[in-house]
Amino acid sequence: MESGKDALPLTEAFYYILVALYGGPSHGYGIMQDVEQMSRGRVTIGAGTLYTALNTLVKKQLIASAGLDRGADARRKMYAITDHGREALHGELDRLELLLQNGRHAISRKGSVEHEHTK
Amino acid sequence: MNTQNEIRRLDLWWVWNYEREQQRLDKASAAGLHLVRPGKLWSFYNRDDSTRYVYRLDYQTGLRTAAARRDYLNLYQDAGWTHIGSWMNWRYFRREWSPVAVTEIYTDKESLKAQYNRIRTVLGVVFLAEMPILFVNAVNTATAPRQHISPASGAVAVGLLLAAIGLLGYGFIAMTRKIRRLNGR
Repeated sequence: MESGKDALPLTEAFYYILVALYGGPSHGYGIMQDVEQMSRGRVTIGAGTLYTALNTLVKKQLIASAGLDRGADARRKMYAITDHGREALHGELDRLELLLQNGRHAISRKGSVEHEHTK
Repeated sequence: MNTQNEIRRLDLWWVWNYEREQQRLDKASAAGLHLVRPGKLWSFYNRDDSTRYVYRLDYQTGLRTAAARRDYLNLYQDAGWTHIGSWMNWRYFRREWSPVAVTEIYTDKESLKAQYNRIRTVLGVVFLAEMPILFVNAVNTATAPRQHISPASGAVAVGLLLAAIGLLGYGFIAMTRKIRRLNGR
């Protein structure tokens, strides 16, 4: 992959995995917990989806394997975000911000036009 | 390991309809009959009316190393699933039924599509591999001297191959339709 932005738009699972790894390496279980906490329980990534997403993100070089957990549970495989992954995440945030701005702008403009008509 | 309490059953299902097999296992478990050891033909169940499980089947073709299998199973275990066995590349998982817990292992369209694609690819590869075998058998049946291959046994062999190829082709089309439905077409 030439640039992290080639991976845009990100799926919801990809997005949350990159966000979860932005603060530091983690394992699948940690990612699952982070995503659930971040989304206040709205997003739950199933085991098959997480496994597929992690493998795809590794193939796209947005994340990389970071060995095994050195803590209490050494059986868990760790993942870390790469520079391409950070670039993709920033690109996705810019894209989402633009979407929000455009939507809010269109809604507020329509609102003010309706307000003018009712006067 | 076959214990006395285990019930042996013949389980046959089509891979392109694996969700129906999951539903059947869930229904049997709700009625107290729980799969404990899956197999190609024979599967083993036990009876316990005090519990209920949810079963999910996962098709994985990329688990070639022991480390890959370990990482894969650890992840499912962390998510609350118990691996109860596998045959070919089908992995059987179960967890205790709960009205609130997530019971799907594939929770987005992209990963489910990847699962369907893995199944479809294998059906397609086996379909293509069977073609030359069918051709060779058909030619042998038509040209071999009668003292070597009787026309009847040759026709049976060709008929069985044709049926297998037909099923593989049907499975490939069924998986393609599922992928298209996911794509919204």
